[in-house]
Amino acid sequence: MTRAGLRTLLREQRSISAVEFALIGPVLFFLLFSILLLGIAQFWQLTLDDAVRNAARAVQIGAGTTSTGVQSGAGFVTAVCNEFGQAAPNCAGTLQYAVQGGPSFTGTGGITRATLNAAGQLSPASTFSGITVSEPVLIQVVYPLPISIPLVPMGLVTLNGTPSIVAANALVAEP
Amino acid sequence: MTRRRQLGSRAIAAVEFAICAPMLLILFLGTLEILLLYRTEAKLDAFAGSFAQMVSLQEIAAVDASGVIETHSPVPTSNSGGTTGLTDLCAGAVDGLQPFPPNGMTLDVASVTETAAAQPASQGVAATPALHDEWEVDMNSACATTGTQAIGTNGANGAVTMAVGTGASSAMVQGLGDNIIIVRATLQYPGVLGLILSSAQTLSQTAVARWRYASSTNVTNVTATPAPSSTLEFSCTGTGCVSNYGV
Repeated sequence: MTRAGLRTLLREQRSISAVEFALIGPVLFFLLFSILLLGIAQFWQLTLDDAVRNAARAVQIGAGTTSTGVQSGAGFVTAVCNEFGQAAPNCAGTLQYAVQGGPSFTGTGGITRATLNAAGQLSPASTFSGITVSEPVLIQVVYPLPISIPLVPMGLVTLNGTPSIVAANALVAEP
Repeated sequence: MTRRRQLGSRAIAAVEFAICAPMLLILFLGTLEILLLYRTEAKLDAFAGSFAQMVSLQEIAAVDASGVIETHSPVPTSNSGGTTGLTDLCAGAVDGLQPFPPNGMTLDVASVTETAAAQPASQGVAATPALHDEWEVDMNSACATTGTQAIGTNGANGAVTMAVGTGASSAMVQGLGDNIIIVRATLQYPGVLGLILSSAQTLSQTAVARWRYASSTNVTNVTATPAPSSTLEFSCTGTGCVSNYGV
């Protein structure tokens, strides 16, 4: 390109706003979708909190059977997903849970809390054991978010430092 | 003139974005802040409530010969027999607080009652009978017991005043043997701005629960004749106790 041609191009005024929008648009949409993702994640979080609280209450009062009802792992997931699954996709497929009972929350013979790693995985991922009347029960539920936006730290979106939303309940089973 | 106007139309979108971006950023941070604050309050509320409920199942009461509850022994701090201790329940409740860490958490649990017995001298008032803090245990974020704050004394706390209002129909403690559990939990909430300002507000939630009298093995002196008369008494036989709440 000649010097004269370059000068003409630099002075060109047509489509200037389209070019600027092409530069700024990605940043704008990045911010907008980040806000949207945050809102969706926290909506799911509150729905999960409520679903787990209701399922925990069912476990606490001894509702359901130990074969397929809420007193079993599969039944617990069904109970949570009947509510939470209305809002979030693939609840039954991705929900991780640890429902553990024991004579105490701490100490020898007590409940061992399942751990959540930085990748948002609960370990062990599916436990349902030891529910006894009048004894402590710890319920931990984790739902890995099925959507993300590149460059957005998911720990910020879930507000807990991991790419999963977490709900937990501690209770004593009814006598 | 024409040339200046042409030059002035350059970078308009960039300038507009520069004006909008801080607002969008504030909107993003503000959304974070409100959601986080709301959820922390909700979790703390559930924390206090579930702890109160857990304590209410650990009843250790003594009844007199007519079946009237006279004293509620303190729930032990550590596990004892069939009773789960307060520090253990506290540790469990902290697990239930996930994913929030118990930063700056305090947990006060008091059993407030009106009994015919003389008020303990430690309560400072000698009126008999009187509403008083029958026992109280305060814990810190490590669930270790700390000193006793004045959660259960009359008027020391709004929730307590509500709960023990003297003789009004709305009061939860209305007569001899009536007894409630008051749990007050606090948590430090740094928030999004706290990351920058390194300051933290303290959130507080209070929960109230009735004793459940859930375990007959924890109730002493289980012979009750004649049948209990007041609304919060219960009758017991050799095989267990039957509550007469509201009957």
